[in-house]
This record gives sequence, C-alpha cells and structure tokens, in this order.
Amino acid sequence: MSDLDEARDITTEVGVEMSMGVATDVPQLSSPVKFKRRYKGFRLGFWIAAGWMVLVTLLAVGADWLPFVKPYAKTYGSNCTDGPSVDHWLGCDNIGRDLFSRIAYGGRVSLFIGLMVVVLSLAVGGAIGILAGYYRGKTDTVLSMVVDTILAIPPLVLLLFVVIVLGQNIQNIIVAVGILAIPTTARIVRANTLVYSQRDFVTAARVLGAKNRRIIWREVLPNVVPALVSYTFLAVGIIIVVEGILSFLGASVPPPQPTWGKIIAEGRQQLDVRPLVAILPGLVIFFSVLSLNIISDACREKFDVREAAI
Amino acid sequence: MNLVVKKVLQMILVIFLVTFLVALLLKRLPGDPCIANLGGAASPQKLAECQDRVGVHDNVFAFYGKWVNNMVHGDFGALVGNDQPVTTALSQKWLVTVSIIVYSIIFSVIVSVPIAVFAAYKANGRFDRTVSTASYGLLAIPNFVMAVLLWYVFSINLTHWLPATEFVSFSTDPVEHFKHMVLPVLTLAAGQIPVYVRLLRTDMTATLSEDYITMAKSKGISDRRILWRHALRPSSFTLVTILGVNIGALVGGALIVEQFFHLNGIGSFIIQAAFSRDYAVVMTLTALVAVVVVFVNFLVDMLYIVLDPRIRRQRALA
Repeated sequence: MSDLDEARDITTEVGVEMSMGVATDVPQLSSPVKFKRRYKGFRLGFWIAAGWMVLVTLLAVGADWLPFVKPYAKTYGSNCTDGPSVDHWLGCDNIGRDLFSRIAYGGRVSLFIGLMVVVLSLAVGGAIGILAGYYRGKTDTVLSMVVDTILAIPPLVLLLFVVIVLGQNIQNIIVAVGILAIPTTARIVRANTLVYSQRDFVTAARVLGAKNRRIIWREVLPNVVPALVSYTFLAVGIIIVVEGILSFLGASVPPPQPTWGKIIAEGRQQLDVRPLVAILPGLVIFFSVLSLNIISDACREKFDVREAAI
Repeated sequence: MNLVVKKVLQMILVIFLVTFLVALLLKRLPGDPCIANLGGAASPQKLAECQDRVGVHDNVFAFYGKWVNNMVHGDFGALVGNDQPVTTALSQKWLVTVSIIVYSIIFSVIVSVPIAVFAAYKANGRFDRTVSTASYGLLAIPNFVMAVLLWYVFSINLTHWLPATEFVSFSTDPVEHFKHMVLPVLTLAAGQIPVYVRLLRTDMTATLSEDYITMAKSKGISDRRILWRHALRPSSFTLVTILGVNIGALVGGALIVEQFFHLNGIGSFIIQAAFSRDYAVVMTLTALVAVVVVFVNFLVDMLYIVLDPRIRRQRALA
C-alpha cells in the first residue's frame, strides 16, 4: 500500500504544480499560493466566512442564555404560522416549535459533534499516522493494513452499526464518526510525517544523538501540525454533514433534541406545506460548510502547505 | 508481477478482515433477529430452528466460519422473515442502485468534460472564474440538502413536474423510467460534477502548456481539434482514476438518495436489514460492497503503475 500511496501523492503533486503554470521541473511552492490568492480573492471571503462561523457558534453556545432564543421543545400551536413573524423569526415547524430556536440549539449538537470528533481523530489518528510515517517498515505495514480495512467497509454501514450497537446518544455518535475519521486523519499525518522525517534537519538531529521520541516531538510534530490546522476546519464541515446523514437514516440523537440534519429530516415530510422548515436549516448547513472550506483554504495558504498533503 | 501478487493477497486479506469486523459488530447488535422477525407468535420449535440456522447462539468465530463456509458453497443466506434467499431479494434491487450510480456517472462526465475543456481553453477568463466559483459552492452542498432543494423545486414548486419517488424499470416503461431517475441522479451528480470539472480543468491547462500543443498550433490545426483530439486524451488520466476511486463514495451516496426518494435498492436493503437485525443479509451485502470497492481500488492502483510513466520513473529512482 505504502508505495502506491506515495505514487499517488507524487502524481497529484506534479499535476497541481503544472496546473498553476509553474515550470514543471522545478517545484516552486509559493507560486500556486500567489496564484490562488489573486484568483479567488479570499481575503474578504475569509472574513465573511469567519464572521458566519462566529455567529453560528455564539448562537449555539449561548442558546440557553440569549433572550431571543426560545426553548427548543416548546410548541406554540396555532399561534405560530409557518412564515417569519415578530415573535417567531423563522416561523415554526410541523408541530409548532420555534424554528429559529431549533436551528440555534441544533447547531450546538452539530458543532459539538464536529469538534469532538476532530479532537478524537487527531489524538488517535495522529498518533497512528506519526508512528507509521516515522518508523515505516513493519509498523507501517500493519497500521496501514488496519486503516485500509476500516476504509474498505462502506462508511455509512459501519456508522449505522456502531450507533445501533452502542446506543443513540451524543457520546456514541462521536465515537462512531470518530472511527470513520481516524483512518483518514492517520493517512494525512502519515503522508506528512513521511515527507518531514526524511528532511535534513531530522537527520541532523539524529546525528546529534537525539532519541526517536525527541525527534518525533521536537522536529517532526511541529512541522506536521500546520497542515492539520487547515484539515481540522475541513473535517468539522464534513462531520456536520455526516451527522446530518445519520439523522436522515434515523440514527442520530433521540428526539426532541434537534440537530441541523434532524430538523431537515423532520421538515422533509411536509416539504409541500412548510418548505422553510427543511430548506432553512439546509441553507445553514450549506453556509457553514462553505465557510469552513473557505477558512480551511485560507489556513492552507497561510501555512504554505502543499495541496498534495491534504 | 511480484507486486501484483502481493496486492492480490493483501486485497483478499482486507476482504476477510472487513467481513470479520462486520461479523463482530453483528454479534454485538442488541436483539435477536429471530424474535424480531418471526414475532412472539412463532412456535418455540420454529424459533429454535431459526436461531440455529442464523447462528444466534454461536460465538463470533463459529458464526463467521459458518458464513464463510456457506459463501464458499454458493449459499448466500436467506432473509430471516420469509426465508427468501438473499440472491432472490437482491435480483430485484441491484438494478435500482446500479442504474442510479451508472446514470449519475455518465451524466456527470457528459456535463463536466465540456465545461472543464472550455474553462481550460480560456483559463482565468470570465467563464473559467464563474465555473470555479460555482463548483466551489456546489462542493459545500451536502447531498441530502441537494435532494431537498431539487425535490422542492422540481416536484412541488413546478407542480409535480418530475415524480420524486419509486422506481420504474426500463423494460416496463422507458419514458417513466428516466423521469423517475432524474431527481436521484441529479442529486448524486451534483456532488461529482464539481470534482470532475476541477480535476480535468487542472490537467487540461497543464497539457495545453506543453510543447506539442504549441507545435500543433503552429501547424495551423484548429483550436477545436487541438482541444478534443490532442489535449483531452492525455489530460483525462486523473479523471478516469477518480471515477474508479469514487465508486465507494457513490455507493454511500446511493444509499442516502435511495432512502430519500424511497427507492428500493441495495442501500435501503442494508439499512432495513441492519435495523431488523437480519444477519445474513447484512453480511452478504457488506461483503459484496467491500469486494466491489476493494477490487475497483486495486484496479486503479494497477492502472497507475501500468499507465503513468512518471510513477515508473519515480519507482526506478527510489
């Protein structure tokens, strides 16, 4: 597996550099970055994206204390129509619950799951990746094998099983999605570690008599981390979507607790009567994922990490 | 050749590990498939017979051994509820999933290739920038949100323009067949098109800066001929590879789309089976999907080695 992975990395690298109009023989890493910055004008976009994420996060965290966020499970009956009104900013859902509050509270679960899964996968996947990439040889073969095995199971089936086996609550969903995220994280960390552990400064450290553990912590890890910052934002976006999918299959947190995916899944049943109930949280997911992608790209530019590593 | 043998052995091992892992998970699922599917009214004798057949009381190893043995002998198991063989149930369902996946691949390629070629032709022009922004946005729409939007626009807002549910087979009614496929296929394709466009555009711009293109231009060959005849084929390698790698993701996507549009395919079959604890169905289907995914990935890896001279060179250097 390892050779082929490297081979794949090499081709993507070559492809990316050539595409940016850089001389094909000499990899110049700063040019694609400059190109991109001019091309997409991320600066303003980045601030809008960051602003949106701050807003969503504040709403989610502060839902309990903000005066305009109502309880998510309370029904308002016929007082609340489906369109926006002064009392209910986005109207109500199928059974008369305040949609705005449900989206605010839903963000709490979605974002929390996203963050926790990333933390979990960075801790476990990061460790696996760094060991495999640094020691290579047998360690790498065995670890890569485990990773490949997990990646070969249809992800949704795995997810569904783990959630059903463990039971449907937030912790178990985090564990289940974590099992999916760990192999990918391990691959990325491994690819980065492979690159850095062959650099001269590592050889220098080894010549000076540094132990493996010290080299990993002091030389390799600080170089691998910047690449992971941008991956983290990307991953949170993906995990929010995965949670949404779980909701769709009826395997997310039990009701009445809302998540963005669950609001859509519930709203879908009355799409013809109250279309906003499904469409608005859909837009919220879209803007959040888009923002996270933009932030992730901006981070990647800032840390000057090659596309191939991501 | 040595590498190929090694890869094949690894592939077989991975398939065994995957199915064993599924068996391990299955044995830990709470609930008894026989009680769940036969109901409380079943006679104790029938229940015991069923439990014996499904292997409720076996440990993981016995259960897994039995399953492998059955598979080797061509017995793919039967549904617990009505004793229907998995293969019979599958024969009605595989077509749905395969149609959705194949149509969406064909549709995405037909749409993305011209867009990518034209974007690369006028690289950094207005069209190119629009396409780039649009595909960036499209990438951020999860497929279930896409499904909601498409359903709302085409099936509700445009007064039932397109039917949103059910599967009609091609042989029954070709027109209805395609009408019913439009929304599911569009949903799946919406996720693929931006990926393909970006990949092909990147490779095309690279190819267009090659010397032999300049040569062709100076010989006076028309731009159209250069684009489609000279540049497209060498640029499409990455795209073809990704089409293969994507199979795994598409199976997952098909599962959601089937669930959303109430289509009775392999995806919803797996979900039903998981919720009703139908061991045999789940084992066989996961194994089937895993074999397809692993095998396609293997083919792609081999393609890389055979077709891309850059890799052969890299390997020789290393």
